[in-house]
Amino acid sequence: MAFRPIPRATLCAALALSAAALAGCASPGDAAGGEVQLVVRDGSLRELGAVCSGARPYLGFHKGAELALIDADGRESYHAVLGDGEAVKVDDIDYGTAPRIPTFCRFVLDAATLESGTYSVSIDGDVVAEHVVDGPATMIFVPALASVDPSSEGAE
Amino acid sequence: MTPPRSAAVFTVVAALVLMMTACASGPRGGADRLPGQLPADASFAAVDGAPDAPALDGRLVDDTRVDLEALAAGRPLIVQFMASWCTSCAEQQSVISTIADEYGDAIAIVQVSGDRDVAELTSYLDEQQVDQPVIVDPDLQIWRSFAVTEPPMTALIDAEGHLAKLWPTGADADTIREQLDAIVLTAG
Repeated sequence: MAFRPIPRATLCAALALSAAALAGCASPGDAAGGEVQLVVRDGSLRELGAVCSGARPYLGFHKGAELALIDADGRESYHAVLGDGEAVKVDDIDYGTAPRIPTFCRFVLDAATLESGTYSVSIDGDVVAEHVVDGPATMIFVPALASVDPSSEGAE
Repeated sequence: MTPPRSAAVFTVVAALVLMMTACASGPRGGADRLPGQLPADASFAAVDGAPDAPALDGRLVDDTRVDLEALAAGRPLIVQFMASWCTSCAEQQSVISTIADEYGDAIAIVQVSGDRDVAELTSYLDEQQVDQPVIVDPDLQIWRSFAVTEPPMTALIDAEGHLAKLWPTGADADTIREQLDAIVLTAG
């Protein structure tokens, strides 16, 4: 079969469409569907992969607790009931044979379709953090450690 | 119904009522789960250099006020920190039950719950068939005094009131036995 070059106009159109699609995924105000994870940055010593809940001062993050994301207009955009968390690595330090190492507690939650923007994170009715959605999958960190301004993040 | 038969029925019904009354002597986790008589020839060793245990002043599920002296009653005390929502705590309960069966009245065990919802706690106690007294600690004051970061955690207090051991995330039966066997000289 003879190779037939793709016309330049077709190639340009395809590239433009792809770029637009990618840009569209992260543009403010668009809806994004994907996995939701809640990561409690408690640094507690645990066995990797162990069942966990948030350690002090995050004891409120446990199986049965209700998580909600509240949008800028005060509407509840997402709601989930936490199951068991799983202890995940904090860093890439080699802790040797230590059975328990610093971990975060990660909860994998139901997928959500969320518009890009800033949300208040509430657990059992208490607002505990802010979270910025800017893509299909969303990973909520508690504490947020620093406020994130989507207009300046990644600008440099 | 002939008189002898009605008497027999009455006797059976009365016996059943008595049995049901005896079984419902109090809620799980209440004062009727406090330790029994200390075996006459039980003897214990103290753990050298161990600090005094923090206070265990609190109220049981049935609102009975307790302290370390009432909970331990002169013997080593295992303190199990738990909550109804804690999956690992439910897994640890079988270890606690095993130790309770093996050591009987030679040791005492108390559980300290961080639950705020007593209904959820009592439901958990029934599900897990918890036979120990349970302190309700919704403000986590006792938890904090024992430096509990998350449940479960197991503490061992010797018969002299010293904090002999802390096991964050709990311990298996062999590990607890090893420590207990060092301080329970004769179980009586």
